[in-house]
Amino acid sequence: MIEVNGLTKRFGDFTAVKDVSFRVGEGEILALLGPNGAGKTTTVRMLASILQPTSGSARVGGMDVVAEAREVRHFVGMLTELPGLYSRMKPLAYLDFFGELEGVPRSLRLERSRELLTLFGLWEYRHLPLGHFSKGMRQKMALSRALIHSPKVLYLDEPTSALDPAGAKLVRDYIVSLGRAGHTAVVCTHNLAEAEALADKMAVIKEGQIVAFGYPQDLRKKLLGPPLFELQMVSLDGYLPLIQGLVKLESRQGDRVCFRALEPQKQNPLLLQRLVEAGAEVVSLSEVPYSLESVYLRIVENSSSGSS
Amino acid sequence: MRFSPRLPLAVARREIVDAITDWRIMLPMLCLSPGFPFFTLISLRIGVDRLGLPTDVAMDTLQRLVPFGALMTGFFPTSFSLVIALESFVGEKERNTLEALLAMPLSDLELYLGKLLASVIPPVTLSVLAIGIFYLGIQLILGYSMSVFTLFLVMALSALGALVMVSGAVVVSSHTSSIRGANLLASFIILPMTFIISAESWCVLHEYIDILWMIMLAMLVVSIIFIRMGIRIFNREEILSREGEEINLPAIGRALLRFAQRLPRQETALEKVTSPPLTLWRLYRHDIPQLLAINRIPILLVLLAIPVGTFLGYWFSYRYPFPLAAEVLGRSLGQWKTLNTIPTITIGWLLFHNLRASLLASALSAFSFGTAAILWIMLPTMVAGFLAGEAAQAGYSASVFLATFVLPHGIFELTAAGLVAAFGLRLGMIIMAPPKGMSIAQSMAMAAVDLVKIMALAVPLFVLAAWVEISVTPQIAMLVYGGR
Repeated sequence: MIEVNGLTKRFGDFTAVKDVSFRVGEGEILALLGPNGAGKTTTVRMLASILQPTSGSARVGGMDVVAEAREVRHFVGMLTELPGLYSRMKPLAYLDFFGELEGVPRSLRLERSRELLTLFGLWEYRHLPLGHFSKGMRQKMALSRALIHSPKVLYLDEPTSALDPAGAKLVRDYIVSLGRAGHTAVVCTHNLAEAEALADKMAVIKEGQIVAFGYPQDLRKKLLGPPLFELQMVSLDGYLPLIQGLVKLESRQGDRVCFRALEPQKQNPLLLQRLVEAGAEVVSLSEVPYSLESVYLRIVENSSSGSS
Repeated sequence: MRFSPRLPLAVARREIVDAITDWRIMLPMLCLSPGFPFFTLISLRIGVDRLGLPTDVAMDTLQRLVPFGALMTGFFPTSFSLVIALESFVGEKERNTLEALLAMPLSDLELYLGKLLASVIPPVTLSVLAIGIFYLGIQLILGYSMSVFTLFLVMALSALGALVMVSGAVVVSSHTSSIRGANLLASFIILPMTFIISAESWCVLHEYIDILWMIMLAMLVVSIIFIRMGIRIFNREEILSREGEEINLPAIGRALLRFAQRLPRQETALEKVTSPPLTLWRLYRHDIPQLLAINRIPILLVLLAIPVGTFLGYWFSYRYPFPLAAEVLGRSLGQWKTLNTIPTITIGWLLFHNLRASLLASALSAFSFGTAAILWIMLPTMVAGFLAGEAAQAGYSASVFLATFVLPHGIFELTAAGLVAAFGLRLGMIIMAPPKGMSIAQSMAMAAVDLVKIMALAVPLFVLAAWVEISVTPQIAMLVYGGR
C-alpha cells in the first residue's frame, strides 16, 4: 500500500530526511519511532503529498506522491501533530467543511459526522464551539476530521498525545480495528507502549535516516539476542548442574534462575522433563518480556555509536 | 483532478462566516461603515451652509467635494481587507490550522483563490454598501445628485484598492509566520496606499478623470502582479519550509558565500556542486559572461528603458513646453565658450555620485519589485531627452545635442548604470518567481551576490565614464558649440 524508495528531503543546507526506504502492506500498521526532530513528520508530510521530496520516490495506493499529489491527498487521512481547529466553528459545521473539501456527498457528511462524534463521545457537545473543547476533545475532533472520508491510508502524528488513558485506549482500539478492516496506518509516536500495542511493523528514524525497520519481535531478537526465560523452583539445591548442562544461565536470585535458550521449543520441554525426572519441584517457567523501550534505546544507542 | 471552483468557494464561504462571527472585526465594520457616509454627508451639509455661498458656487463646491466624500466613504471599509487578509493567511499558520487545509485535496491555487475571495468580498461589499448609503444620502440631505459614472468610478477605485491591499498582504505575509510580524510589514502596503489615496483625492478634487483611469489601470496591473506573486509564494512547500522567522546571520552569510563560490550556471542547483575557486580571472572570464547571458531579459528591458526615457523626456518638452528653459539653454549653448562651470566637478565626485546612486537604487529595488532600478535609469535619460527637446525648440539639433553632451561618456556610464539597473531589477523581481526549489530568501541572496559580481564590471566603466565626462565631453562641447 505504501512503497518508499530513497526518499530524501532537504531544506536549504539541512537534510531532514535522508534516503528512506520501506514498504507497508494493506491493513498493516507501521509505527514510526524516533527522537524529536528525527524526520518523522517530514516523512509523513511527503507521504501525504504535502511536501515534495528533494529526491527519491514514494507511491501510496499505487499513486505517485508527486505526480498524483492531489489524488494521494484525497486517498489518505492525516492527523496533524497539533489539532489546529477553527475555534469559532461547531463540530458538525467543522466536519461538514472538511467533508466537502474531501468530496464527501452532502447526504453522507452528516451521517458520517454523527457516527464519528458518537464514537469519540463528542456528540453531546456538538452545539459547543470548538474553542471550548478540552485538549483531549480537540485531539478526538482532529482525528474525526482525518477520518471523515473513510480513507484507506491514515497518517497519525502522535494520535493519543493529549488524551487521558481511557481516551487513548479508545483511539488505539479504533486504530487497531481500522487495521483489521484493511486500512493501512502510519503512526508517528514517542510512546513506545503505544507503538507496541498498535504496530505490525516498526521503523526507528534518527537524524533523517531509518536505523531499524521490521516486525517488533524480529527487532527484539536481532538486537537483544535469544529470548530470556525465568525458572522458579521450590528449591534449587542440587539441580543447578543439571540446568547448566542444558542451557546458558544468565543470573540467579534465590530459587529463581534466568537463562537464554537458542531453541526454546526443544530446550525448554527437555529441561522440564529432566528436572521432573530428578524429582525437582518446578513452580513456574516463563519468558521474560523484552520491553520495546530497551529495543528502542539499543537501536538509538547503536546508531549513535555507529555514526560517531 | 482538475481545477474546481467549488473548492475555493467552500474555503471562502467558511472564512467569510468565520470573519462575520468575529465581533472584533465585524463590530467596527458594521458600526463605522454605514456611519461614515452619514458623518461625511452631515459635514458637507454644515460646511456648505456655514460658508453661505451663492447657490451656483455652492453647487460647484459640492460637485468637487461629493465625489471626494464618496471616495473616502468607499475607502474606509476596504481598509479592513488588510486585517482580514493578514488574519486569513498568517493567522491560520500561527494558530496551526493551516496544515489540516494543506492536507486536503485542494491545489495551492484553489486554496489561494478561496482565501483571496474571503478577504476581498466582505470589505468590498461593505464599501459598496457605504457608497450606496452615501449616494442616497446626498440626494436626501444635500439635494444633490452624483452621476452614475462617478458612482461606478468610486466603487471601482475602492474595489481595486481592496484587491491591491489583499494581494499585497499575501506577499507581505510570506515573509513572516506571525500576525505581529505581518502587522509590522503591513506598513509596506499602508504607506503606498496612502500615497495612492492622496493622488486619487487630488484627481477627484481637480476632476482629472483621465489620471484616475490611469491610477485604476496601474492598480489593476499591480494587483495582477501581486496575485501572480501570491500564487507563486502561497504553496505548501514554501509555507511548511518556512517554520522560523528569526534572522539567522550566520546562515545568511553561508548562503551568500555559497552563491559567491558557485559559477552563475550552478547557482540554482539544489544538490552540492563543485566550482573552481573564485578568483579575479574566474570572475571576468566565466562569472560575468555567464551572468550577462543568463540575465539577458532584464538587461534587454533596461536597454529598452533608455530610449523610452529619452523619448518621454523629449515628448514632455513639447507637451509641457518650458520656454524660459529653452531660452536659457539656447543662450548658454550660444555662449558656450565663455561658460566656466564644468571644471568645478571632479572625476572623484562624479564616480562617488554614480556609485552611491547605483547602490541606493539597487537597495531600493529589492523593496520595490525592481521599479527603483528602472526609474533610476529612466529619470536621467528623461532629463537628457527633455533638454534635447528644449535645445530643439531653441533652434539646435536634438540629436547633435545628445551626441555632444551624452554620448561620449554615456557609452560607458549608461552601460554601467544599465547593468546595475538590470541586476537591481532582477533582485526586485526574483521575489515574484524564485527558481524552482529555492526559497525567496535564497533567491534574493543569489540575486544580491550576482549584483555584487556585476559591479566588478560596472565600477571600471563608471571610472572611465567619469574621466570622459570631465575630460572629453566638455572638449567635444567646445568643439561643437564653442564656435557659435
